[in-house]
Parts: sequence; C-alpha cells; structure tokens
Amino acid sequence: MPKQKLSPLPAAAFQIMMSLADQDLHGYEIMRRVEEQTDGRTRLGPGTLYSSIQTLLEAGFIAEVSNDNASDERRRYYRLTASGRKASREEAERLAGVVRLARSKKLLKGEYV
Amino acid sequence: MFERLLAFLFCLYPLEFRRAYGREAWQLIQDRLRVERSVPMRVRLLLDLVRDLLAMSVRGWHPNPALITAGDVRDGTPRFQMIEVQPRRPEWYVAGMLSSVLMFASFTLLFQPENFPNAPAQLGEGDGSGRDSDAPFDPNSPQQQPVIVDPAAERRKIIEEVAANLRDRYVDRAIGQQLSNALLAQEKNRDFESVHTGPELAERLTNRIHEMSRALGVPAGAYVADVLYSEMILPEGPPPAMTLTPEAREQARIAAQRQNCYFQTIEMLPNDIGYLKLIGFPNFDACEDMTRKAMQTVNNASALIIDLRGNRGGYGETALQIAGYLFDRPTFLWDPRPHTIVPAETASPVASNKLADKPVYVLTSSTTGSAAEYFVYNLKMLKRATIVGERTAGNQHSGAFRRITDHIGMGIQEESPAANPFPIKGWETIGVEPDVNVSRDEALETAKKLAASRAR
Repeated sequence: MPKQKLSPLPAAAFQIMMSLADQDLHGYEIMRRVEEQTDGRTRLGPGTLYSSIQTLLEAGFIAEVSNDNASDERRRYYRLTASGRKASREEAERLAGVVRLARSKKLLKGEYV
Repeated sequence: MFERLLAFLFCLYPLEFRRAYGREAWQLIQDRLRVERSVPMRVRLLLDLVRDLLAMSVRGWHPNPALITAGDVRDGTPRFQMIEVQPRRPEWYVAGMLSSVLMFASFTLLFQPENFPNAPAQLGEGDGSGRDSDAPFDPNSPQQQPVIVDPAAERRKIIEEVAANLRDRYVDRAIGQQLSNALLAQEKNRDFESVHTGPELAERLTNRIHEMSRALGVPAGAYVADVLYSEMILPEGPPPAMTLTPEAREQARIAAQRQNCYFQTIEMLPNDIGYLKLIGFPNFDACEDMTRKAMQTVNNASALIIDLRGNRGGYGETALQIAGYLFDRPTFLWDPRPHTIVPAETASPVASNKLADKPVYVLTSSTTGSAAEYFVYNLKMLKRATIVGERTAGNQHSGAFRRITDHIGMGIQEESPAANPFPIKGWETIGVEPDVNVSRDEALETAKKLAASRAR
C-alpha cells in the first residue's frame, strides 16, 4: 500500500485551510474550527495538525503571522495565503463536481450542490 | 495525575516533532485540558492523543507528501489529492478504548509520575539562571530537564510572592491586603496542593484573585491582577514600559505596512453599506494615511459595518482615529492604562466626514481582544454602535508586569486608571457583551440585515 494512502494529510490540510478562510487562528482554534465544520467527525491531534501545518507552510498555502497579543505570545497564528485560497477554491469546486456527478448518477438526492 | 500521563504520552512523540512544535502542541493539549473537564471528555482526549500518537508512529513526523503533483496541475492551478473521508466504524471505537485502557493501566503500574520530572511546565522548572531561553522545547533534552528541588516549596514560594505583590502594589491597599491574606490562607489550607504545573497554578491563582476581588466589591470588568505562565524565560530587571521602544515601534510599522495596515477588506456592500474588516489595529505612525483612505472609501455609506472578529488588538491610537469618524464632536473614550499615550478624546469632527450620524455595527468574536475591546467597549458605552457577534475576550491589559520566577509573572493594577464615567467599569475577564448575540459566523449576515432594514 502506498504511503500516501496511510496519510490523512490531504483531508486534514483542506480542512485546516477551510478553517483559516475567514480568520487567522492558532493551533487550538484550528482544531476546534475543524471539529465544528466537520460536525465533530474530525478532531485533529497535535501530530496530525502540526504535520499538516508544516506541509502547508512549506507549500506556501498558509503563512505564520505576527501575534500582537502580548499575553498570548506563546501561540503562533496562521493565515491563508492567496495561493492557498486559490487552491482551496479549486479543491472545493472539484469536490462540487464530484457531487454533481453523483447526483446525475442518482447516487445522491437533492437538486443543488 | 491525568496531566502527567498526557505529558508522558507527549514525550513519546518524535523528538523532531517536539523540537519543531513542542510548545504549541503542548499548549493545545493544555487548552483541551482546560475546556474538557468531564470524565467522558477526558477519556476522549486520551483516546485522541493515543490515536494521534499511533498515526504518527506509522506515518512519521512530517512525511511531507506533495500537496501538488504534476498530474494535479490544471490551467496552472494547484489541486489537492483526492480526499478520502471514511465514516468511523464502531469496532474502531472498541479497539481504541481497549488499547487505551491497556496503555493507561500499564503506565500507571509501570511508571510513577515522580519518575518523569521532565514533563513540560512542571513547577520548580528553571533555576533562575536564564539559560536555554532560546532553545526549542524538548522534554527529553538533558539540558532542559527541570531542576526540581521541592515542587511544594516552589509552589508555596510563588503563592507567597503573588500575595506580597497584591499586598504591596495593588492600587487599593486595603483590598490588596485582604486578597493577600486570603491567598496565603488558602495555601495554608492546601487548596493548591493538587496543582502540579506552572500554567495550572497561574490559572488557578488568577481565578482565585478574580473571584475574591469580586467578593470584596471590586466592580465587574475592573482589572485587579492576573498571574501568567510563560514558556519562554521571563526577562529580569524592572517591568517593561507601557509604551514600545523606538525599535519595536519601527518593527511594528514595517510589519503593518507589509500587511495593508491590517485592513483585510474595505468595500461597499449592497444597500450602500460600508464594510471594513480589520484584523488588528496597526501602528498609528505607519498607517494613519491608510486608515484615513479606508474611511474615505466608505464615507458615502448609509451604514457602516466594522468587522473586528478575530482582531486581537494593537494600537489604541488607530482605534481612536477610526472612532473619530463616528462622532461630530470631541468624544471621551476611556482607556484603562494609567500612563496611556492615547489621547483621551477623539479628533472629531473630521473634515468632509459623513459617517458621524450613520448607523454603525461592530462585529465581535470571542477572540476580539485588548485594543479592539477598547474600541468596542467605548462605542457600546456611548451607545454609538450596535455590537453584533460574541462576547469579547476580556483582556484589558492595563496592569504593570512583575516577574516572579523564570516562567511565572503577574500583571497588577498598581495605579488608578482615568476616572471611568460608564456604568460598566471595564472589560477585564467579563469581555464586552454584544447587543445582538449571535455566533461569529452569523455576525456579518445579521449585521447586513440590520443595516438594510434600518436603511429602509
């Protein structure tokens, strides 16, 4: 089995980028936001979370931003970059295409994507 | 005990991972510990950590799978790999639960917590020498293993120091004396005996100070003191000045200009609603012109939405500058800091400004803090804006800072702030309550509807 199959990174990375779409967040906030946006199905552990963050940083999809909160200086905040936003949009559109196809094949009900 | 078990599990993560993200990852676990207090939640936390640890042991730290592959590039646009999301099956829970119980029992029997003094943030950490202050967090590193002589004595010493600061430095000496006496009595009663880590002690002391000061008649929202834990070794010497050094201001100026002075969005929405999203209040010297241009862009709006969700603060002068556009005469804004450099009144009226009589909606979240709360608090007290969203963070940041140990310090209100004419005497710990209480995700749509209905 290829190593890529073992990795949850693509899903985790996409969820992290979705969580950063409208706000800069630190690690714990990202974890909570991902949990909320997946209706509790996905809780990122520290290893998965920061592995994904590291990869996204290296890909230039997110960036670390300065933390102006003096009382909170232990934390690092992350922001979605322009290329990250573009990649997220493309991925969302691709997934929407998959859902449209599923509807056309009568695998899903409902009119809209 | 539970925290020590988590600390031990944390030590099993790969060294490279802990070097790169140890501080943050441990902070994440601490955050979950603080919020998830019930037994089921604690079990869930333990399972999550075990599962994550197992996943990392299979995958290794930072496997760096390419997010983009040649086959995924379409029209020059990067795409993700196919996402595989499988529903969790009941047998996975059973397997996870059994393995966790086995691990928990094994750890309890085989390892006593006393054998792991290198768990992060233990009391007694550091000897005051300031060494290794820049080294990455690494609980396994011999150089960073804390020197625990007597954790109970260390805890007692911190509590006594906090009590002494309250007694000698808090602006109201009578209340400071009572707070000091109460803390010492609680220490004597062994109320803090279950506390084993620096962050836990700081949080417990802060909560006690807040509870007791309210009981002693300090108004809600007024800042008294709080105890802080820092992963980094705190600097020695006198407390830092309330204002930034010229070098720090210059760095902040450059940082702000690189990020469009923190104006993430400046636009006109349908129904002539002006919309400003500010993710921080930037350096005033660097961003005065940019702020003026932003306000001019929305000058013809029939209503204004100022989005401060996630805005953790910054420079009060910029908050005051924006507030200046919302009034037609000089208006007092209360600043809790005794030696603030922010003027007490807005520079209203602003020439050619048309916003002074327009409805204003300010969006907030639980992470809206510090200078952003200064802005929100004053507009709410003056009834100049409708606050839409969540209760703000409650970080007044108005005290002087006192170092206690290498990692523990405290903020304390040593001098009286300016007289506060408003009925609520600040926002420390209580935050600013919104007028329209909705989640951060609903705040913008709610404000748009309110603004549109008022325009009609």
